[in-house]
Amino acid sequence: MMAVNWRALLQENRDLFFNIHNEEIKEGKGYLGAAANAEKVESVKEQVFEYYISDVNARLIYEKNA
Amino acid sequence: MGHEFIGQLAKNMKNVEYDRVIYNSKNYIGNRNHVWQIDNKKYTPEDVAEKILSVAKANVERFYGERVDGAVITVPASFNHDQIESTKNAAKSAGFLEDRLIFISEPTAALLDLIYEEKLSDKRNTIHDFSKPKKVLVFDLGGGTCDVSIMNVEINGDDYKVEELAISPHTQLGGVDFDICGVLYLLHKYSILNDIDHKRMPHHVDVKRYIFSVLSLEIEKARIMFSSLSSGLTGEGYGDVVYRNSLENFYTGQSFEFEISKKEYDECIKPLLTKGGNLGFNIIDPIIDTLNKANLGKEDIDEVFLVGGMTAYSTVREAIENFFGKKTISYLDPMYSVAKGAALYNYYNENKKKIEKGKIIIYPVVAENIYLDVKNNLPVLLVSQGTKAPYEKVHEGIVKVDNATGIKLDILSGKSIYDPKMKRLKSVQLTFTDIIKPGTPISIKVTFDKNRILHLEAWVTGNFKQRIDVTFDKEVLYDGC
Ligand SMILES: Nc1ncnc2c1ncn2[C@@H]1O[C@H](COP(=O)(O)OP(=O)(O)O)[C@@H](O)[C@H]1O
Ligand SMILES: [Mg+2]
Repeated sequence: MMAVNWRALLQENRDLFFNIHNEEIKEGKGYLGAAANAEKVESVKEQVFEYYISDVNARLIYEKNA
Repeated sequence: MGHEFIGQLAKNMKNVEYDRVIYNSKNYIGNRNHVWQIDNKKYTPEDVAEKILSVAKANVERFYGERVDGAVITVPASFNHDQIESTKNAAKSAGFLEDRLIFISEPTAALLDLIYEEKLSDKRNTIHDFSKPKKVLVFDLGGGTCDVSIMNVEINGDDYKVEELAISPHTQLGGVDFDICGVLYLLHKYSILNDIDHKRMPHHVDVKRYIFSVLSLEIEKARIMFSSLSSGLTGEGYGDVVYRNSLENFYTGQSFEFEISKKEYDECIKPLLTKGGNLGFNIIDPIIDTLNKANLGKEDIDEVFLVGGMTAYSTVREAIENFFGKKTISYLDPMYSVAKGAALYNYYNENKKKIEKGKIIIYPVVAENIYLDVKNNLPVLLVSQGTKAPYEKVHEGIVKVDNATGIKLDILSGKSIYDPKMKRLKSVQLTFTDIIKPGTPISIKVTFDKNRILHLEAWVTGNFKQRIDVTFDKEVLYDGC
C-alpha cells in the first residue's frame, strides 16, 4: 500500500477534496440501497409552467412579474 | 422469496445485501409512483411502513402480553395530507384500528418530552422556565429529513399549551447527505491510493450501488464514533479522532484500507452546515425560512431545541449554536425524544378523559397558503399559511361553473400565487348529477381540524336540493402540518 501524506495532500488540494457538488450528492443518494423505479418527480417549476402556459394565467403571471 | 428483516437487522445487511435493502422509505411515503423491486416483488413506501408498524405492534404486544390496536403515530411537521393518509393506511393494514389512531407532529412530540423532563426537574431546579409563554424553535435532523418548527409553549399549572407558529416544508436533507459527503471523500482517497479516477470507475450501476452502500455505512459508523469520543472536546484545539477500517474485496478484487479523521470529515460536511453554501441546500436555510414564515428574527427565539439522531453530532450542534449565538437544549436523547413524546401524549390524552387536570392543547397551523385555481384568472386564496386549527370557512360563489356537466377544481399550495415552487395538491373533477347552467356559482367550505386534516366540500351556491356531495373525503387536499 502506498504511503500517502494525507495532511499535505489535503492542504494542497482542498478544492478537489472538499468542493462537493449538488449533483454528486444527488447521484450518490440514488445508489443507496435497493433500486427504485421511481418516476423522477417532475420539476415543480416546469409542472407549474406547463400548467399555466396552457392557460391565460400565463399571460397574467407574466404581466404581474414584468 | 427469502425472509424479510426490519429495523437494525435490515440496516446491518446494507453491506452484504446492499441491493436488497430499502431505506429512507419514509421520505417517499405518499408518492404513489415510487416502487422498489426486489426479486420481482414490488414494495411501495406504504408497504414498507406497514411492515415496520407490524413489527412495532408485535413487539409491544409481546412485551405486554396483550393485544394493542391503537397508536399515537408521529409524523414530520411538514407531512402533507397524502403523506399522512398513506401512513394511516399502512397502520390500518398493520392491524391498527382507524379510530384508535392519533397523528401528532414530531416537533410537538419532542416538546412534550422536554416539558415532561423539565417538570421532573422542577422540584430541584428549573432549567427552562415555561410558566410564561416561550418561543421554541425545534430543529429535527434525522436520517432523511430536516424539519424546523417554531412553537409557542406555555405551561399553566398542569396544562400544556403548544401553539405552532410556523413549520418548514419538508426538506430533502438528512443524515444520508452527510453520509454521501464522506463517501465522496473516501472515493477521492481511494482513487489517489490506486491511481484511478473514481469518476471513471466503471459505470456499472451494481458496482456503484455496492460501493456507495458500503462506504455510507462506514461513514455513519465513523460519525457515531466521533460523536461518542469527542463529546466535550469541542472548538479549536481539540484533539482529532481517527476512524480506520479495511474493506476486503472492495473493488476489482482489491481491498481498501482507509482512515478518516473527525477534522477531515467536518471539512467534508461544511457545505451542508453553511448558510448559502455552494450546494444549494444546508441546515441553516430551513431555519431562516421558518423564521421568515413566523415573521421572527433569530433573536426572538427563546430556546432552540435539537432533535433527531444527527443533532447528536457535535459539529452539527455547533453550527446551529453559532447561528443563534446561544446554547441549544440538547440534554435529552435526540434519538428518542419523539417516541417518548408520543407515549406522553397518550398519557395526557387519557388523563384528559378521566380528570380535568393535565390537559394538553395543541394548535396546528397550515404550513403554506392554499389556493383554488380559477380558469382564466389568478388562483384565489382558500386558507392562508399560519391559519390555526380548528378553522372553518364558507367561500360563497367562489368559482363559476364553466361546463354544464361538471367542474374541475385544482387545489394549489405555495408561498404566494407567484411562488415558483407552487405545488398542485389535488385536481378533482366534480360531476353534476343534473345539468347545471354554465356561470352558476359554486361555493366551497373549508375546514381544518385538530387532526391536521384539511377538508373541502363544494356545492352549487344556494341550491340545497341539488347540493352536490363533493366531498374530497379521504381524498382530501390539505397541506402540511
Ligand atoms: N450518535 C450519533 N452521532 C451522529 N449521528 C448519529 C448518531 N446517532 C444517529 N445518527 C444519525 O442520525 C440519523 C438518524 O436519526 P433519526 O432521528 O433516528 O432519523 P429519522 O427520524 O429520520 O428516522 C442517521 O443519519 C444516523 O447516522
Ligand atoms: Mg425523525
